[in-house]
Amino acid sequence: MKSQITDNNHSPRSQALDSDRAIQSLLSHKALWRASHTSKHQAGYLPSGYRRLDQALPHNGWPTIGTTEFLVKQPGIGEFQLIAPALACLSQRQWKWIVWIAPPHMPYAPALAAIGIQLDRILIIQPSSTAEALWAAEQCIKSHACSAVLLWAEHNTRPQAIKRLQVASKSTQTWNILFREAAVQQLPSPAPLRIALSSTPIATPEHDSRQHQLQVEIFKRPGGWPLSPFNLTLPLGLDCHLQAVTPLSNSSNPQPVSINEATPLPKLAITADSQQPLLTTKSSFRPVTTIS
Amino acid sequence: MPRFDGKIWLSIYLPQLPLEAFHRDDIDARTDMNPPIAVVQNQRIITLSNSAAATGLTVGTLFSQAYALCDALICIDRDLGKEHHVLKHIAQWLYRFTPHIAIHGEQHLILEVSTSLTLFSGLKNLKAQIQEQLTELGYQAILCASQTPLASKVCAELGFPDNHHALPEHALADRQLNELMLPKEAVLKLLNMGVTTLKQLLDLPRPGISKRFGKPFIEHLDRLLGNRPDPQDFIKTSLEFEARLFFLDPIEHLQSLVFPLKRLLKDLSNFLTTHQKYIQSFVIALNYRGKLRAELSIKLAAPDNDLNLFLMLADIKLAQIKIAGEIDELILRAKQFKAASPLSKNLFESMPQRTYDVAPQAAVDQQQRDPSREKQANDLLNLLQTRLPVKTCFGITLGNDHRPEKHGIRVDLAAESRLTPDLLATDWATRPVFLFEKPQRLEKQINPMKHIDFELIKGPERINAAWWDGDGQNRDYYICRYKKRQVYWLFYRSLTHRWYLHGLFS
Repeated sequence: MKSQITDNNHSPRSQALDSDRAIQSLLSHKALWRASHTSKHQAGYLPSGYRRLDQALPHNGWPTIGTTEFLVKQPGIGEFQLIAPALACLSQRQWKWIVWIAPPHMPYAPALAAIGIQLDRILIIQPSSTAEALWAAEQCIKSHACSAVLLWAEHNTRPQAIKRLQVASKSTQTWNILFREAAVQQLPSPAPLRIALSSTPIATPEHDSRQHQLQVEIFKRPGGWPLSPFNLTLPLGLDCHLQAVTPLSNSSNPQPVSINEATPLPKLAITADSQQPLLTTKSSFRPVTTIS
Repeated sequence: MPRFDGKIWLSIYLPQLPLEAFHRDDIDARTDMNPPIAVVQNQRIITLSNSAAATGLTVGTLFSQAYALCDALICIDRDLGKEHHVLKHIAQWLYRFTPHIAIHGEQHLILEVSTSLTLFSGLKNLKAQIQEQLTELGYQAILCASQTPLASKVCAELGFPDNHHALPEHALADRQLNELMLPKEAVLKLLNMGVTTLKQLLDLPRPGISKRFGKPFIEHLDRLLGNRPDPQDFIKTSLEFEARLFFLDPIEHLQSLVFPLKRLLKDLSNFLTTHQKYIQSFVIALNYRGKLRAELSIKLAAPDNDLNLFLMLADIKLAQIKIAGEIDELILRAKQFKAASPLSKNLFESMPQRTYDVAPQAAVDQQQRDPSREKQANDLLNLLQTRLPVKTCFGITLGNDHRPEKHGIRVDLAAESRLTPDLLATDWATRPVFLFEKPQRLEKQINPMKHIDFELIKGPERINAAWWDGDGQNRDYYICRYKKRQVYWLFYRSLTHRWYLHGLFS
């Protein structure tokens, strides 16, 4: 009691000032995340090229900084098509490596070129062990020389290792994409964005048979609650790909941002329109004959 | 009468070369730290290390006798081949002082330096620099300048002062004949005649000398005095770099190789600076008794001459090898050199580049040429390629071939091969993201066209074989969805009537 009376500094007014200052310093701290600051569009986010997906993603696009985790039941259900437009955009935007670590099979250059990914920016690493893969991933992320690091992680990858990658990729502004097995969905992971993918049979009878159908479940995302799964139709290869991207820029609905608008470079989705002959959707497969 | 042709010949005599080929004393260490070493030829000691000489041994002692006098002595047989390597290495190193360097005999290097005098501010300075830097490298050298190559060789071996201002016949006039490297029998005859100095010999009538001692004698004399041209076989700048280090005590712990390795890499870096070259790969060989124990091959992403980079990569490689056993020789080799390119293309690197109204592709190209960004990309590549096993780190590109396996190919990620080749034919039909390295054959009874699990999406696409290189396979490619999930790229080979999986869409 005595001390309260004698100590003038602890008057209610100065206490309020103190706490105000403390809050201000807290608020200005960089690491503090505030829900009110999540605007619709923000730098560092790249439109995925799929309207339905963009609506579900925080900031309407892929975060190109930090770790994004895909949980895939089996490879080859269309998971690469999800990120392909964004990777093409990254590869055309800046001269930085796009590193593939331990892909399940050999990435095929013609397909990647058709998507619009610059081939001279691709670096493939086939490590012999999990430790080596994680080491390589960390070095790549830390080097400032990569725009995206794709890692097909083993099932025994520990959360601590993912945490390291997440911290490193945050600090060097690199996009770290992890592909993991669906079984680890129940296990905790430090990745801020986690997406489970599974293939669903295409229900409608008059479907375009060239497309994948994916069930996308974003069960962890920054700035939002987990979303209930939704279905997404993906193109199979090049020719359908144009359809997926171009309508967005023409659409009257301004909310989804197409890749064309988000990046300073025109001709982003596909560079092939003038240089290379594209197969139109109508044309049947042309036999490549070398000699008749 | 001989006339001075303006050329100044500098001879470098390496008296301790037989020893230095094996061991060079550490200048910083105290004398007693260095082991006593003697080099032996025909059972007799020909060279002694400082610490061996301090024990009282002399050159010419029988080595069995020497052991009796000093039991810690290490005796090594002379190795002329090794000495020649060292001599060649020093000659290459001397290239920074003059382009005219010749190897003369077993322990001499002869340099023509008249053209370098202005650059190095006079002969005295030049000599001091060579002397100092050779000492730093661990070689003992005696230098002497003269007007003819032979005279300089004689003077260096005997430790005479420089005499490039006087004609050899004057400078050497009072010298004893047996000091002048003239043919031995002729000198003996002359001594018996009472002719002991060069002056006395030159006073004799020339035709008489020629008649009595033969043509080789008079030619040698003429070359010595400059009456006759004495063309030297100058070394060419070698397009190879090779430096060796020999350890008297075999080394077992690889970590102790780091410092010797640093010495060699420093040599390499100096060599590159002198020759204005960059390098993209080098090899470090670890030998034991002339047999290769391990070889570290280091490849760089882009040509470079950075010592620190070399050191870092060599260190990583060294940490990888696991060999049990001893190493007694370290060899560093580099073969393919590239012309050095300027470090930065922009004079003012920090200045922001002016933005021109350029096409987007050009803007990317601009960024592509940014040297600091390129350096970052190369540094990462260097690190990965050195640490990871060979061929696990690569790029991909389009091949100039219509066959699927050769249309997308692996490439080495060295800087120049990263450029995409001009393609004659491009094939933009739908292709899978992943291609199996080897097509996987389906079971004989499975026909995807009739099987319930397979659903045809597209096909067939006929890809004809390449008759010109003997690959006689025609394939019909189909895109099929399997069990409503994965989409595969399959082909049917009519030759074997079998189906194969070749790729996976994703």
